[in-house]
Amino acid sequence: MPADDAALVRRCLRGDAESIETLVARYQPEVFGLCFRLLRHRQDAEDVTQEVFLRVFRSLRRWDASRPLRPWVMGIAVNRCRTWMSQKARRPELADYLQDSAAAPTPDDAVELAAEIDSAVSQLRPDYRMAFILFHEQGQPYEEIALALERPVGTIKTWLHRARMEVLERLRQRGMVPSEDVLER
Amino acid sequence: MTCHDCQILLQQSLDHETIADSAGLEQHLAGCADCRAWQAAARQLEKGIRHLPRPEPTPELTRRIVRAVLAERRMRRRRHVLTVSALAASLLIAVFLAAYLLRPDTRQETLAVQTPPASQPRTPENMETPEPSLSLRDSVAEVAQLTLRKADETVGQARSLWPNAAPKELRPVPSPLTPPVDPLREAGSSVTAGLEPVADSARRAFNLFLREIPPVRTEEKRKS
Repeated sequence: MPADDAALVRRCLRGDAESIETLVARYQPEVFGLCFRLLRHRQDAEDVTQEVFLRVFRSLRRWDASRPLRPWVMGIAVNRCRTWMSQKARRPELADYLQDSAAAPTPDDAVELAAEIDSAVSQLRPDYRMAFILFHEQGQPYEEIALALERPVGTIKTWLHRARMEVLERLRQRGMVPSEDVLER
Repeated sequence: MTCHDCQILLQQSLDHETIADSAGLEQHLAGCADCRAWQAAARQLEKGIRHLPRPEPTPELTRRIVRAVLAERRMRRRRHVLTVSALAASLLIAVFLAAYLLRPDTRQETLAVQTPPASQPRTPENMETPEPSLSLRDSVAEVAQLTLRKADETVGQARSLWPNAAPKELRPVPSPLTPPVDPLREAGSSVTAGLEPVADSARRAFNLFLREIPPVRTEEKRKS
């Protein structure tokens, strides 16, 4: 947790526009990254990111200064994404051919591998996907993920292990594992 | 080392933890193709994650968010001020109303001011110093007396004005007036005359009906 989060929050609560911008800039990449990975749509991700920060500033007074700010912000992001996904599941899907995908198709093996992982992650169930993204893409520790997802650390570990096994299984099935690594030594 | 142990170590390596029994792991992997495949996939996963594109928001997103946050704050502050003002006004009105209504002698004073005691003549002096307590009956009597007095004054004023205007303009009233009950009597007799044929027919029909009914033999009935 950045050491000056509490001071920054205090300045935000006083209505200092510059501090508000600092706080948004500090957490926006992670919030947007999570939203984009979960929603897989740039415009949706930006809209939800904006909603997340509106909610963050609306309830900033309720933040417990003795706890880290990032999991609290990410928890709000997780909840907003869940709500958005459940709403989207209820309304008809509109084809958005203009949206940019996470990875442009190139012949590079690494990029192909990344695209395969991205596809595999997108097929995980939402809880597993959140745990996977927060751990592997955003590098958050188990404790913070547990706070953000409001689950015990043990549950997060279980989710993440199962998520990994599903992704690894998918990589094996899709032939993304070099055979020389598997052959008998 | 078993395949299950190997899976645990695989998870540990993906958690970026140091593997304590790396020699045992190597030994197991050398003899287990399935675990080797899992290990190779795990390495691919780590490599692929490093190459996952980092989604970047549009450059103006931060400004857009800050603008939205500030706009919402302004709106909330305005709403808050309005709410507080409305509450304060309501409270003030309630306090004034309560202070007025809960004054201990409000009703008595009001009555006393409007109705001075019947025994004393009504003068400006005793209007300023009313008696504090009056029964309802006294009050009603006083109001009636006051009304009569005012009516007398009005009649007196009207009489003083009357001789100049009224006698020339008033027409003589025809005397005696036609009693209002006469038209009703006439209407009643007309209705009776109109219904007479119907009533006669009905009477005749009823008499015929009575004649057709056989007489009741009460003695026979008693015997049976």
